[in-house]
Amino acid sequence: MTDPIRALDQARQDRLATYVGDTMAKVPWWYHVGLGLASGLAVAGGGITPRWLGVAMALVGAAAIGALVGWWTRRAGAIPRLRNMPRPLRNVLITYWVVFAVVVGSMLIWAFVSQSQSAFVRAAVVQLLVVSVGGILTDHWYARRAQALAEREGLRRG
Amino acid sequence: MAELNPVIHGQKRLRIMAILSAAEAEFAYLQERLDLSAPDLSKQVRQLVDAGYVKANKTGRGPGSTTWFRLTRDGRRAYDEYVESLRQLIGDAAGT
Repeated sequence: MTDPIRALDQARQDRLATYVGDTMAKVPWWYHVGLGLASGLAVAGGGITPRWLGVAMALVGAAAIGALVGWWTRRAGAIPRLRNMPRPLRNVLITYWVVFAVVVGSMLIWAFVSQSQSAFVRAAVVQLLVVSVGGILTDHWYARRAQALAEREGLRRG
Repeated sequence: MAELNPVIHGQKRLRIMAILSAAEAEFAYLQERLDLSAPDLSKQVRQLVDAGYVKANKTGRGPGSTTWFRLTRDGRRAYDEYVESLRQLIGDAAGT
């Protein structure tokens, strides 16, 4: 390697392209809807009687989540690390996770405390909305910020 | 004058390390990003694995199997030091 400036620039571009490239910007919308349905099913199982049916629903939901995440991970071919992620992009994901934890967490606590079937169904609907709509909106937000970052940093595409 | 790590000191290996510093990545993903042949990528990655900078994890069996790569702690440190050495080189060159 003869030119340290070029080498450093190439390394910076490669690193940045991993975050702003196709890996995270092109998640299909139905992936989030699928995750929302699967996780909603798992939550709804908490209030179903007989108990074995509720457990079965939760297991099917968890298996579907695993299958979807596994499928996407294999398709994307890369799992970006949060630690080195550029701050504008990292903030998008952190915001989503905080909203998810607060909204879904509080609904789940309420459902477990009340122990009524309707509470789990409502928690499942909230889960479905937060995961599907929230996921789609977060992806759009991430893609916009990624594009802006790529333009600002002069990222060469292709 | 900053010393450059000879294991990373090669354009292909530096690019592999740069990508792996941002993500855990699969063989085909690296191949596509770097536009390398499979034997060439294997050869480059093997050097990084042998140096203890990259960990390979094979999943599945047969034709559907894939190999994922990630930086080890030593690899991350070596990459950061290499990038810092490059910056020093550029700084030294600018100062002369």
